Amino acid sequence: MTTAIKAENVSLIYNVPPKNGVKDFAARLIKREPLLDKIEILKNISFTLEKGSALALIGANGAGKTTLLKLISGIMTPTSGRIVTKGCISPVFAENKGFNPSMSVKNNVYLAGSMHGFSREYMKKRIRSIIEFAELEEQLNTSVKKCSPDMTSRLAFAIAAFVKTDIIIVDEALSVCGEKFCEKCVKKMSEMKANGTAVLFVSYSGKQIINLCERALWLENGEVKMTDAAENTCKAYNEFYESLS
Amino acid sequence: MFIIEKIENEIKYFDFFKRILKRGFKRRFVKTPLKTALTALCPLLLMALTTIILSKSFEDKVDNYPLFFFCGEIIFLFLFGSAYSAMDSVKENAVYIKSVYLPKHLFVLSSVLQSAVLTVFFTIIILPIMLFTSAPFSSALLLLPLLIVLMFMFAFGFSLILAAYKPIIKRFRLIYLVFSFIWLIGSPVFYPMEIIPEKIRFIFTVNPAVHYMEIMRTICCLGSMPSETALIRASVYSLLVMLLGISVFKARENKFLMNV
Repeated sequence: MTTAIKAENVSLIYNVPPKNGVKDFAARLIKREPLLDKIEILKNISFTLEKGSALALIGANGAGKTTLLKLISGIMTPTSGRIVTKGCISPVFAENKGFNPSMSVKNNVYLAGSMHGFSREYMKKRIRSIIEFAELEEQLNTSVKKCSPDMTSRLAFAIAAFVKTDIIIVDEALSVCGEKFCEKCVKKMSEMKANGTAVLFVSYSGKQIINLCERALWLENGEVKMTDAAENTCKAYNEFYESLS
Repeated sequence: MFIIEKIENEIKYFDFFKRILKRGFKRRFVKTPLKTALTALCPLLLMALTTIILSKSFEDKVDNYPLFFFCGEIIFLFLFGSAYSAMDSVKENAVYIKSVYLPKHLFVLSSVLQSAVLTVFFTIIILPIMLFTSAPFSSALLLLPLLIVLMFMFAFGFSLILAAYKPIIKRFRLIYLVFSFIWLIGSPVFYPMEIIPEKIRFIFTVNPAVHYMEIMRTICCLGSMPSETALIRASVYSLLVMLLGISVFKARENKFLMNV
């Protein structure tokens, strides 16, 4: 099995200016204190993901899941450590799908394809499958700003699923979709896994995670709390939060 | 290997680059025809006005003031304007760069290319102005494309530096406008370099616009080949600023992403 993603001691630190601007800067300069506040978003994350396997990322809001996925996608670079990925990555984020709201669904498919590095001709051959999977046949020439979040999530996933990709990253994009569509997506990701695609999946649904992923990584406050079989990790995660409440 | 990977990366996103370039051209030139017409007419009107006001003041030093001024004007407009429009190019496309990995310099490159197309248009307009003002035509005109390439390299590097810092510095546009005003005064757009006292003339040579204007005026106003020194200086400036721009942009890429 070849490794699709390898993360070694990945950390991300944000340098944030002080709250009171110039006043604080001057005070810190006089006192010889650090001028910027350091906020550790991710601390020494290490994991590997093989081709043809799926890893779930679980954690509370603000744990650093989306940030880690952005590092893996290449959108951001880590402060320290390294991430090695092999092949084409297709990320699907919940908050940023990369669509142009003034363009139609059809033109956004071509746009998204070009953003992934695929030509218009390549996308022309696949657009029918994408639109059918996303169930957006009637919205083909509608501008994306008139589509609901559910429709845009379906479209974003369909594009990622039908282009030639080695790693697919799904970050809570399915949370706004209906249960039936979510099951369809999990089935599609299982097929992609069987074809050798690595799947990195973020979801709050334990059922989806256990059905799709062999392993799960639990992130807590930017650190890896646990990495184990999906069922065990989800169980430990649920027990932890039940004990807190 | 690294260079081959870089080239493969650029080829991979060529379709996307064509798309943003086409969108930029439509927005800038097609959707706003009045603005395009004014953009084309403005330098010519300014040339006419400045000739009326200033040509008498410099008649002993400048033979062909309209052409002299027009050469300086289009160079300064390109260097200033390309950076002004490119500095927000990455922020304007934040929705794309936050969703998937994209080489962010493509947005800056697209913006500078649009400005370059306008400059090529103005460079072609120089020919009828040369005819009208009886300026000498020579084979040196064949060097104009090289000059445009050198200016493009400078503008691209400069725009990358501005695009890297714009998202994190407040009122950056205002600071740039103030800097550009000083830059305009320090560039021999309205006046010949000969009026600057020799003791302080060397300070002006730090300004790359001085060298580009010298080359263009040698070609168009005098009809002769620019000196090797001038060409080398201009090339060194262009290459240095482009390399500096690329390294600054690459180093700050992660930092400004938080602010777009």
